[in-house]
Amino acid sequence: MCYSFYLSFTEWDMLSPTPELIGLENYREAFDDPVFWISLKNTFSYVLYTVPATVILALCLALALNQVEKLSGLFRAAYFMPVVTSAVVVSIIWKWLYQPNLGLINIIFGFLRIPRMSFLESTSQVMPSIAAMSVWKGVGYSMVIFLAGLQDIPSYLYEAAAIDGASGWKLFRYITLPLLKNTTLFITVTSLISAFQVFTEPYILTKGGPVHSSRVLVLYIQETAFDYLQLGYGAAMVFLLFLIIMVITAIQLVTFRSRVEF
Amino acid sequence: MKRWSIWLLVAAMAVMGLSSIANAETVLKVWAHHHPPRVEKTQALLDEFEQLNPGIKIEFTTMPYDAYWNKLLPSMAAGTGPDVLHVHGSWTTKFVDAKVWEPVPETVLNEIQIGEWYEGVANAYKRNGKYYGLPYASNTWALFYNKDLFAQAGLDPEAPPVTWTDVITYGKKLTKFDNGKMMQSGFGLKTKGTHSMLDYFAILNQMGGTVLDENGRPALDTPVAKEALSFYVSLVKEHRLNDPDFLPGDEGFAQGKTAMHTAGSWFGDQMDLQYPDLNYGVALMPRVEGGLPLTCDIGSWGWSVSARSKNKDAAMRLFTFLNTKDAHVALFGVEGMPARADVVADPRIQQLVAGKPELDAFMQGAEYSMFIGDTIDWPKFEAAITARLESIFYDNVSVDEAAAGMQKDAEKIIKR
Repeated sequence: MCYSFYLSFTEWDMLSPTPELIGLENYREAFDDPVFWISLKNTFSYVLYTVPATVILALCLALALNQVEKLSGLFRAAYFMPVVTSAVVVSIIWKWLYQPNLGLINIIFGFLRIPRMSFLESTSQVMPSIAAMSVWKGVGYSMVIFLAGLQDIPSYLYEAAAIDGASGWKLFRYITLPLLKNTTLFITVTSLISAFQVFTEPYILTKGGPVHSSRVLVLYIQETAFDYLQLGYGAAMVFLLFLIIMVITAIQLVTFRSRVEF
Repeated sequence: MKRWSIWLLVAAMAVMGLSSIANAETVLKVWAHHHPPRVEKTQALLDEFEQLNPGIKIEFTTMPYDAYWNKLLPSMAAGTGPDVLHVHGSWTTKFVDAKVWEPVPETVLNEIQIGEWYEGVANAYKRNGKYYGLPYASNTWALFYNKDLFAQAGLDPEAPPVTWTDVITYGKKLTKFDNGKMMQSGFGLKTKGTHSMLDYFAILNQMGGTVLDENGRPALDTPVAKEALSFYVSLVKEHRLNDPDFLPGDEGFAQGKTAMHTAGSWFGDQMDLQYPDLNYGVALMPRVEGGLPLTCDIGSWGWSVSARSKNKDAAMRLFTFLNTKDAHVALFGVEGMPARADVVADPRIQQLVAGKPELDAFMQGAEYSMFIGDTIDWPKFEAAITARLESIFYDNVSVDEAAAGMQKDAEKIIKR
């Protein structure tokens, strides 16, 4: 990490024997580079599409699964399977599913009278499409953590509340949700950190296209460093990404930390 | 320990040391990316070299294409890289600037008869009058067409299109729609990916334009450039021979859903290997009325000696061996057409080509392959031009705006 920080003040193509110090030039280049800003915007879009969706969906699934007694193991395995499947394999298969003319999704949409979508071929649909696939793949992981969190809530609390006449939504709102706060915070923070670093899915699905519409920051950094051989500039962008993730994580922790109630 | 045993130990060590010096072999590391047909033939050549040169042992390593570039760079930077490496002509600028490739000495050039190389093909490896490696193949571009789909559409499968006007006429007959959705593309014009740039540049050259002007400055927003770009775009936007939503050309052609597609000679090898039932023909690149079937080349595969090698003499000897006429004849048919004219004329090659009319288009095409821009840093340049091209199809950017954007990006990159 320190070496990477040092590199961010140099210009180096990996082939020359030593990096050349150029001060803040790389950071200036990032601010002037439209593709850097587009990549950052795409990354933020991806985070906004995936993190809330994952948290909410995982919670719903966990709540539902918590009620299930028979075959609960089977359901958990089913939802968790995408998590352990290779991201590369998942992406390749979804690339075919998303093919506008020949892919299964549009064919099903046709039967349901839903208009045909362009998915990965459209600059506006590509990020939500990639996000949808990622949510499908990752929700099982968060669901399992929520399940653990739910099972940690002592049942006597529910019983006590039921005696007082509370039910359904009130139980959820005043017992479940507050006691899940730590779990929710953990899942949100880790999902966020991981979402900011998304790479495999866009790399396999679109390589950043069409035009730059799915070029996320880590993908652009990889191209800059290893295809264009500008390691210094790549390192500078890595450091900027690191700063952004740190700041957002810090804000989250400070805002939500000290509110565990009993 | 007893004194005599110490002396025995020292004597044993001395004997072992001396014998290892006597047996000292030069070990040459050769790296290539993994393309099964070529790897087999290369191995045979390397074995032959070892037999002719006792005392030199070769360690041949191959790796998948994607990994090759990423493994080669750090290893050359660390000095643990190969002595002789398999390289691509489009890498020359980067590697020569970083002084990582060894210039080929005059003596070697004379021995291998450098005059036999097709100038355009060899130029990809030349900088400031020196060669930094040499290609064994020339990557010509040609028109692939599906003979079955031609027959189905009532077209003569042995009469492929010659001009772009033909492409449009035939293409319209070969394109099929179902409820407004494209099910078959008549001509897979590339709407994305770096090969779209190659096709656009080919048309630009055919219409009399150039990518770089005489001073090496980009010329991508001149009237002729805009004309070429408009024509390129019209094949999709006006004549509807392909759809930005449809399968990419490589895949479409392989699946029998794209009737005509331009690609390099490697594409034929791939189709033969993975889709042997595909009934296809190969023709020269379509041309503008009264023009030449020019195609665009940014380099082809070859060999190079590492400037960081610790066994440069031995490495150069291997390089010389790999670039003799016989070595090139042995390597023929794996990655394109020969780079040497005397190989094309060799009876062994003539015999191989005799039964395969589709190879003819590639052989002839080598003459029309235009190598462009020996000053261009390709990876970033390709990415920028491709993004501008894609923006016309996927972002509704106008041709004029895209051309201006290409010019601006090109100026910035070439200035670097």
